[in-house]
Amino acid sequence: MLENNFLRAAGLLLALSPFSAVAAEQSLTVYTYSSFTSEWGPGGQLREAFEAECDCQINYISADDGVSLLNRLRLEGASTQADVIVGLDDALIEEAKQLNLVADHQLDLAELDLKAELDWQDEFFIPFDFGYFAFIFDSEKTQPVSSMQELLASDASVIYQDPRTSTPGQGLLIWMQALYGEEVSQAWQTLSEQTVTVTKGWSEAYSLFLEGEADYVLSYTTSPAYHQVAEDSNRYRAAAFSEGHPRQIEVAAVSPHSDQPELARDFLQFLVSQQAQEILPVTNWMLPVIEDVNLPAAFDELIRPQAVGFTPEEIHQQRQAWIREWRSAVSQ
Amino acid sequence: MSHLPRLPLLLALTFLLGASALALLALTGWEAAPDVHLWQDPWFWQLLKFTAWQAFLSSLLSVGLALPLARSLALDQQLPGKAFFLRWCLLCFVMPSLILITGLVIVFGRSGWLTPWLGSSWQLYGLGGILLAHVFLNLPFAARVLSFQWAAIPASAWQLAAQLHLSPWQRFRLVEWPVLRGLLPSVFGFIFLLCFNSFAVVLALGGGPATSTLEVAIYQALKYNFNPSEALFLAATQLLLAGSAFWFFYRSGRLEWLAPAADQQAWKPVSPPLVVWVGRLVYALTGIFLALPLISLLPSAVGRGWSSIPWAALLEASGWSLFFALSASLLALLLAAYLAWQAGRMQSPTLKRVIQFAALHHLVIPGMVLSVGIYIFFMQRVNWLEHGWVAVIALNSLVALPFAFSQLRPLVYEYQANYQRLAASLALSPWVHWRRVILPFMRPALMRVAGLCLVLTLGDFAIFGIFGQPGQQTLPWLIYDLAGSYQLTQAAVASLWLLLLAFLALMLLDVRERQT
Amino acid sequence: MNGKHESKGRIKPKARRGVKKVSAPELLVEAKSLQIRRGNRQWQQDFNLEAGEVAVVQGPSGCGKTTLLEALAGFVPLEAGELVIAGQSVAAWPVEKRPVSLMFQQQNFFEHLTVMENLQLGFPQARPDAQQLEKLQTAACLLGVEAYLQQKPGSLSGGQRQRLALIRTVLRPQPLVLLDEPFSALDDASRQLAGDWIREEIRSSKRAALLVSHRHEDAERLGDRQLLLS
Repeated sequence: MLENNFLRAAGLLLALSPFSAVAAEQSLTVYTYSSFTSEWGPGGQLREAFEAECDCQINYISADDGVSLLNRLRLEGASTQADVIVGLDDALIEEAKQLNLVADHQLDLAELDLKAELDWQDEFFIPFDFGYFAFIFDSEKTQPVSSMQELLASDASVIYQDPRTSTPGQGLLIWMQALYGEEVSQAWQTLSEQTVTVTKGWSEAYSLFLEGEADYVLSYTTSPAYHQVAEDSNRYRAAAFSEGHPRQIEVAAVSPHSDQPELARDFLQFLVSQQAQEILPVTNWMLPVIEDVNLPAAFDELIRPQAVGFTPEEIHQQRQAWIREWRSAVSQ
Repeated sequence: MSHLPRLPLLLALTFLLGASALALLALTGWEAAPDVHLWQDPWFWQLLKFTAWQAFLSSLLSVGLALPLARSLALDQQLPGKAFFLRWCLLCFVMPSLILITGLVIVFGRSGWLTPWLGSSWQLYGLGGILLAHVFLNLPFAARVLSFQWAAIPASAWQLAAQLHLSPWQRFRLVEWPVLRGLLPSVFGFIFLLCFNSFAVVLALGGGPATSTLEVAIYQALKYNFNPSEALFLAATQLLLAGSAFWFFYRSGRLEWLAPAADQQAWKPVSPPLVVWVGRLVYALTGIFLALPLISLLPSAVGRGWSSIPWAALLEASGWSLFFALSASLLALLLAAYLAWQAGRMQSPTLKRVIQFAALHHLVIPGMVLSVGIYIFFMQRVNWLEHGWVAVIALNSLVALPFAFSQLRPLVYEYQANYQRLAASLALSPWVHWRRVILPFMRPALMRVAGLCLVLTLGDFAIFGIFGQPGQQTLPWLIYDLAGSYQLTQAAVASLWLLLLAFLALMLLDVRERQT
Repeated sequence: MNGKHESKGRIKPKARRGVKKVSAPELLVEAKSLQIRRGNRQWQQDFNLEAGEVAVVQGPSGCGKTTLLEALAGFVPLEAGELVIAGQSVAAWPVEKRPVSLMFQQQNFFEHLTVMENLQLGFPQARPDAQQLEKLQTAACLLGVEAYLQQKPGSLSGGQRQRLALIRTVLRPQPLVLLDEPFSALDDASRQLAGDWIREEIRSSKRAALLVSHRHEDAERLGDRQLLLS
């Protein structure tokens, strides 16, 4: 009896569970990270806009974040369904190239009108938004510090993300490395004494911060714009550090295993169009990569930091060593 | 008998032994070489030190608090709600630990119920939270086992002690201590191992590399860093330490944690008032401690109204959880019953031992180690993104199998010893024999084992962590995500729901206790 | 368990005597030079049974009465010889295939099933047809155990259990019925009643029975033949 019921239940579940999504014809499969496709992310609006002009169907498949996205592509190899990969960043560019996960985009960069400050030359990846990492604080509770050095000297509590799983975490890794070089271990140890927790992803850290678990959380300079636009509040602000801030450029590319590279290239082109660039800042909360985009006033009040950091090649070569150094230092 | 039945047996043995063999092959560097340089990394030693230290503290606290509690439970006749408390203990011990984590955040988190009284330096994330969770999960186990042991002291021994006018201290030394002495190391060791292998609790409450266990580090090496070599080295270390320790403790003592309490009516000694009241105080405090995190889920769950509850996500996660848990439990149950039956009728003692070894040896291999080994061995051959769910079911059944097998084996042997000749002489067809005779005989045990397997597999966190896909998220992982990003209302609803499922499964587990 | 396996030296062949009555002789069971071994005791056995006949096996403790029944039922292997039941040579058949119905001295019931469920297990697919069910009921009434059919065996006395086991064993549709001390727990009145019922049942269904008893009067009263072991 028991067994019969078990069997029936298991069979029923088996029949109901969608094990694989069936891909329709003329569909473009876009691999991205999950907050991109969440209900408040840019995924929905971008899909609508692109489908209106391409006569095709966009099918998103999302991984947790940029790093998982890369791991997934690496595991799938040539059997991947991806046509377009959206959401790796400049720190992962080199690794993706070496693993042959991306194809030449064949677009003329000069025609794309990218911002000069990006100085974009890459022939595989197209940037679609960018931002600067920064520590966010609650202006009603915290008197902000003005440099990393001051932060480490204070006894303020901090939440940041694991550099192995999260792009802001990796940003901090680069930041600390750029500022402290040889003495980074010492700096990490100082920071670890102020650390409430190291979370796996950005959203965990940010929610913990909003619940009042820490004075500072690692995020982007654009985060205050979100609170301004969505909640009409200027309570949360980014601390401007005199040493400069690391920059993250989010990029997209065509998969070498795509069977419709034309359509995929159209999508890349679309991502840097005026239309998409107006959607991205207010959904992904990053800065547009082209000039003269219409943005809410809140974006004018954001801090405009100096960029510090390393080239993608340097990051690629050093990343593992940096992570080990971080891991050892903070587990002392 | 005929030769045909050999084939299923061969297949079952190949599956059981093959899985571990391939995982071990992977650990020895078959697919990717383990990163032995970690040996020189101070982080590695720090990791080992913390893993052992938190496990040691957790077991010390659990056993230390369990002692006065267990004594009251066994000897204090006036303790109210004892039967309910003992059943609650069982629930706490086998409960999926993710349920607890939501509750702990609500009660002990930065804006938690009790946090204002805990001092400004209180910090849930880190050693504090890990110890809270481990004590919550293991203190009930220790209290149950020890109170059964205390209750098992025969009335005649108490009466003799009273008649000889022994002081309470002498009585403890001469009557109680000899009975407990044999058991304490096993209880301590068993809890130590459970905490040494802790994954979900540490991943959720650890708060960074400084407070990480081996098991979490293995997971992170594979899933965060995609560094198979490092994962393999850590997994081999884990297997070596935890596996051998498990074997040692498992051999040294048998722990009957399902056993019903002994006769409550027997003559019990009178303890000094101080001892009685300390016992009652611990009982009351433990009761509150064990109830609070679960009770706290209720107001949080209904706090923001029904509309804020993610019904779709909850429904989908429940579907996947049930699918995985039911399939894995069914597989474990079938394997356990089939292997116990075959082992029972096997003439050759060698073959019998082989079958028993195959069914029981997964007890020694932590689920995480097995998963990582299998994952890496088949990485180049199998697309885990698509077929990971098969591994989730298969490996969960392997982890549950030893429990199922050890529960069913004595019963199957008893049946065969008593009825094999009778059944043969009646010339029952296999179907009639199974359906009309064996099934009614085994039903209570099968229900109990099904309940146990279901609770275990519903709570699986590690195996799904390695093989699961975001599109097939199970309830524990949904709770982890929700609680991790402080969506406590949703996390509380999901936790209560999982608790309900676990509770339903546990009602199967209770079948025997009600019957005896 | 049976306790009759001490060996006592050498083989003593059967003794066959006392054929009381012969109707149209139809040979149902034929045992020719059966070589039986239990431990290091070994002997040879020859006998024939005709349809409708009841034979009583007698002999001192440990002479191999139980072993003989077990050999016929297939639990003890036959080392040599020929065994023909209802025209089929069954010496090499496994227990489950032998056309015999055996009543053990003990352990005739699955303790977790009711008596009725236990009785039904004797029939093909454990589903007796209407006629067989009626026969079960009648026999239970006759032997005074009809009140216990829905109970678990554990709650019954030794005598009640024995009568119920007897009913299933005798009514099972097998040509050869083997009964090992079927009356050991019965008082004299029940013993007589049960004996008469067995005899009538076997005769009317044209089957054969081999009955082990240590009481001489059983042989006198029930046996068409006697099989003396020593």
